[in-house]
Amino acid sequence: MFKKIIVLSVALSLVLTGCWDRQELNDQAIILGWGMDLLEDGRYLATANLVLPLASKSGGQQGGEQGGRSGFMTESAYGKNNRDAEQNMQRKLSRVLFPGHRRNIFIGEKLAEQGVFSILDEYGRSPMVRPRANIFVVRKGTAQEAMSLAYQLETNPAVAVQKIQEKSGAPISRSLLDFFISANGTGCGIMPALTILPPEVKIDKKSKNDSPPQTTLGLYGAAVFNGQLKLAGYLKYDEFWVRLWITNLLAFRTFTTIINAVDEDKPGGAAEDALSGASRGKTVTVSVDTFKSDITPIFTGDLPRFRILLKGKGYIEENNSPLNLSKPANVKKVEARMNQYLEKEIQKVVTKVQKDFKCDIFGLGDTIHRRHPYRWKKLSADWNTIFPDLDLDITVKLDLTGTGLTGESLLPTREGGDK
Amino acid sequence: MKINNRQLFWMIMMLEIGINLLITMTATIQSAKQDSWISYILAGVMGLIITYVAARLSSRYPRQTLIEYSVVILGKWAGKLIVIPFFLQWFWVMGLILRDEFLFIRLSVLYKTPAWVIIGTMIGVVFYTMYHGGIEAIGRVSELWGPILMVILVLTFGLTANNLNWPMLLPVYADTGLWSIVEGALAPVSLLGEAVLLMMLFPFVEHPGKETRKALLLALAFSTILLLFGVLWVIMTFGPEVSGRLQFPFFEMVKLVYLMEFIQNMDIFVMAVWLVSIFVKLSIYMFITSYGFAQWTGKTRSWKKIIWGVAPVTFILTMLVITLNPPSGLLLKSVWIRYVLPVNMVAIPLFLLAVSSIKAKVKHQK
Repeated sequence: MFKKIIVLSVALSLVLTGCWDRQELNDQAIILGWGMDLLEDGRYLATANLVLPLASKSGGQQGGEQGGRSGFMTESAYGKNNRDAEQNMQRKLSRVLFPGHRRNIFIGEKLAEQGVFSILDEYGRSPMVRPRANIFVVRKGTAQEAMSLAYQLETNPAVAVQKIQEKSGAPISRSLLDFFISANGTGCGIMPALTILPPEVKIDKKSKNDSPPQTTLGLYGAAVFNGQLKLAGYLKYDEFWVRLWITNLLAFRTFTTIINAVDEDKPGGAAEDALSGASRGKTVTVSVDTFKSDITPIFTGDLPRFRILLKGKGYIEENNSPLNLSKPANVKKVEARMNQYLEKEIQKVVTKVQKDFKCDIFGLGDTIHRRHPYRWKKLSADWNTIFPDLDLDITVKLDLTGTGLTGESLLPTREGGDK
Repeated sequence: MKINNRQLFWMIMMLEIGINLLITMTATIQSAKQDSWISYILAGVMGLIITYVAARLSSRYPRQTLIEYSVVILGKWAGKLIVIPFFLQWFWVMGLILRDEFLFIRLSVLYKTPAWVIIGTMIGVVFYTMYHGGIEAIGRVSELWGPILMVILVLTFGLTANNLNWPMLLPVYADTGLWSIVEGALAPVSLLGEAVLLMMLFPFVEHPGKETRKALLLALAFSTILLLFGVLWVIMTFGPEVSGRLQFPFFEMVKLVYLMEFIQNMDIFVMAVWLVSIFVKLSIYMFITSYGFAQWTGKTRSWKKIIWGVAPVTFILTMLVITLNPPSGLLLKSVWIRYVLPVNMVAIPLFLLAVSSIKAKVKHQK
């Protein structure tokens, strides 16, 4: 009997070696990024960002073109959807496509405008893929354009966008999951948006070793999707933090306003100046790293109103204003001006969302749902028509806890300055 | 073959947690939404009552298994007939958990490996353990792996805590209502109620008695608490809508672990431990089926020979389930909750307990 079992276990150990699922590393084409575009004729174009094994081994970290080879390659194929395109792509590849590390998904603007219902399912269904992934809309471009760009700091541009996103103050690499959750909530989705950024000023290369700024991929802000999951519009880089703050997701951000004179209320240096985009002026920058938001729905009339109290803690990082920051009263002045400026800024963005996108990306509906579930039952059906006309009372309360390494500036007191 | 109370505690823990984490959550969240945690508390309480009734019944016959004392209570024919639903249940459980194990493994790790290899190897290991160690080996395995399972689960809860968003749990009650919550509790209670198989294990405990009952109830309470944490974590991670649509929400949650860039891909640990708990569950069922069948046919001593029959039958049954591929949500609802829960877990133990105590009273009066 015992012998039988030994024979059995030997036989089992032979089958247990996992021959069916054996997949050597050098038989795999590891996908780091995946892009989908919609073409004019209605076909989908998929682009894959693949790791080039040799390049990443030979220490080619110094970017794009070490030894004439870049650290990544892109391959593309037409298809009816994701998996179909993947199969069509496979005919060009000597290795099996392996999507287990597919952490970044790019969506072309055209496809986003037509709606992402048609392609998003696979990202949550395929068992090979992990749920923690980033999804981006490429503003004014196709996914393929964005994915083809080499990135200097990283071997692979797909890794680069993931890292850029991590440094933006938004929740780290879970935008796909958040999209699914928010689309199931009050109906609107939101994704980070990328764009191709040419250098601000073009400088020619004078010698071989010069390295002037190049056209690169950058974060544009956030793309807002409406109830049909079609692109409704974008929040820019200096706008998208508003939504993150209101929904309690913002991690860090610096804000700059203008304070031209010692007396904060003097004309010529109001909060509006900073809003108008004036590039000149005496600026103060505050770095905030603790954010809190408190949304209170109030039911008095027909429509609910909201009191939104936004709190933050930070310190002053740059002060070009005439204020002497060694005096606590002046820090209070900065606080007051900053609160004013932020309230206006936030109000501007909120109005834009209400009027242009008509989509509740601030979780206001969710707040009613959670705090007043029975009232929500009456409101939920018409929420998208109610939302644009909601009255929001926004208050910002910053708490500045420090002024950096110096109180008074190291520069001598300037004209009109405060002793 | 003897096990002690502590081993019994860990056996019941392993038995309850593994499969419950995998398959009941979706069903519960679909009906009870963000109030699923209430369903789990409710399920825990009902599970405790079911276990208590079964334990009380077994305490009256501490040296006998269900198969033996049902004959004592009801007489030869009725006693033998009334345990038939249990045999059906045991075979059914073995077939289904093997099927679920196969589905899960195929989806997560081994995409191309044929079913018979995954099923066959598992049955092979279980067979070997049962043939050589019997219930004692399983007791020791549970005692060893149970704490490891706990550590891994606690670690999982800790490492996924940064994803939690507690407002997802609101509003409480308003969206669902009593009926949905009770309906949501059915799936977990029908699995927690599996603790009734203690009626087969009771006589194997060294000193069956009060301490044994305590160990059983504690095991059930602890399992409920862990499952409660599991469902709270899942809802706070994914929200009720998304988690109600995921097939294995708990494991998707584990996949989300991402801390300091280097702590990632924890799921393989959880899966390994989960497989051990499936192994324990399967072994216990294999044992009670074989032993119970041996007692039923009156050949208790040759129960090991019966494993030679039970193992292949289980294998064939599982392959049949895999081929027919009935949806597991449907099976859980239309068979397990509709028949097994009320008949095997509630009606029969209660009935036996009632008859037994009436008999005892009548005897006493005489």
